[in-house]
Amino acid sequence: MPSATDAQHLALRGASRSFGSVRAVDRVSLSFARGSFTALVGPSGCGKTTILRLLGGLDAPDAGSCERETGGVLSTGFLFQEPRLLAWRTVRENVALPLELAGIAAPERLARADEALRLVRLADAGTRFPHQLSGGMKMRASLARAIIARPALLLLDEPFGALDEVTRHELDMELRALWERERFTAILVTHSLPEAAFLAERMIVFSPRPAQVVAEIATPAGARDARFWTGDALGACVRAGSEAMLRAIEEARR
Amino acid sequence: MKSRALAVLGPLVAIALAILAWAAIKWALDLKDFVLPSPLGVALAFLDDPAPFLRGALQSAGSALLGFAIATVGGVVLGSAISLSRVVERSVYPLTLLFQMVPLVAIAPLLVLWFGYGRPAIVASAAIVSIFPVIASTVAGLGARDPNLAELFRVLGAGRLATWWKLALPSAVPSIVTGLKIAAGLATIGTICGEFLAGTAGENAPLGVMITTALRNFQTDRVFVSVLLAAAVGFAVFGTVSLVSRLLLARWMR
Repeated sequence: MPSATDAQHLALRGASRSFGSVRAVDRVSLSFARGSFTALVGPSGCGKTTILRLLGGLDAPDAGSCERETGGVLSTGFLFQEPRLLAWRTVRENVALPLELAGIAAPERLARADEALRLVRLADAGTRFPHQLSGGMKMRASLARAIIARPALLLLDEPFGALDEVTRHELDMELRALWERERFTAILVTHSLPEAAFLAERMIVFSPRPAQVVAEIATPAGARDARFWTGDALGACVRAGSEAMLRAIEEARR
Repeated sequence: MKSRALAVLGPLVAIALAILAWAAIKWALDLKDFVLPSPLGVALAFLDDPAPFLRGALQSAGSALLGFAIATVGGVVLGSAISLSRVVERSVYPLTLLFQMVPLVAIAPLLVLWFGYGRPAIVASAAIVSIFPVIASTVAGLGARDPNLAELFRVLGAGRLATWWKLALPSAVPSIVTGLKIAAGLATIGTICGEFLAGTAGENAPLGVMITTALRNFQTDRVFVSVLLAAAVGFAVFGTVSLVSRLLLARWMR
């Protein structure tokens, strides 16, 4: 159960956001406990990414509020759909970028980059350039960059969507293992129900635009392994999620 | 392999044909040597005493490289200033365009007035004609950064200056290099033009002066030698810039 302080960690309270005449998010209230892993799922274009941007402080709601942990800025890491690496820098220089911009000296930030690269199992690739990496390795480097500053909050915007199925499963497993070890608060936007059920502790299903919460589904606790992908537990979550989503889509049509 | 042989043989055959056509025209129209010397006559004029020609070529190459270097530094600095500040962009950029429209031959006499006869005026002439493509390519390159990477820098809390130095300028390098290649050719043209007006005769007369001197003495064969050497200088400057930029761009391209 989220405690009172946990509720203050990060929450949306009746938040709405419109772009011109298009309402992307409609009176959404959600709170996130410290160290939790939540997946936001819904049909494409439903406003999930807008919610993520509100949570990350990149955008502000028109109505309602977004409460981020008080007493300073909630340190936040972002993982985008694309790796977004700088082509002219080596992998470790890329990973060290957040620390570099924070003014941390080269020896320290590069040492920490190597450490972050070890965490994502990319220790050997530090001196290579992005163009020498595969798509999956680029995403690993991007993940290392997102966690190098040890953020309390990691926001993931369909990070592995462009990868092939096998690489995607592999990275999902490592992301989950990383979270189990580090226990940052993680919020993932995805349109893949299996991925949401695999990674997160809690799936929040949204209606088509404007995004409204239609279901909250708890996923099984405990560690994940490759067999979890094909297991009944994941299947049940996916079924529940699909049903909720289909109901919402049908209602929206009416 | 086949295309490689073509790449080497093709130009050689074309050059041989051009020399043959040259000899044929002279023979068919029965032209005097001072109107059009024979290819052999030009070769002999050079081989008779190559030292002054080579000294002249070295002089001109030095002026071209110096003018090019000034244009490179000045162009990148000016282009950066233009793209960093909206006020400067609005006020200075049209001015540089206007400046570009002024024919060099029209301002060259002024350069003589300001710098006197000799190298400074020649280098200034080379720098003036070659600076514009550097400015334009810098402005274009700095304006064309990836919006995804710009968002990454925003998310990481990078300041304006850090974003410019670590993102905009490196992103602009391929564009700037394209401008530098154009500038390399122009610097040679500017040098020869400058030498026409501001060059001094004597032991170390540069190619532009050798051309005007030989013309006055109806030594058309020597004019041809100087012109061909001027082209060779242009090639050498362009080749040097291309080679350096290829090494530099190893990190960017691919």
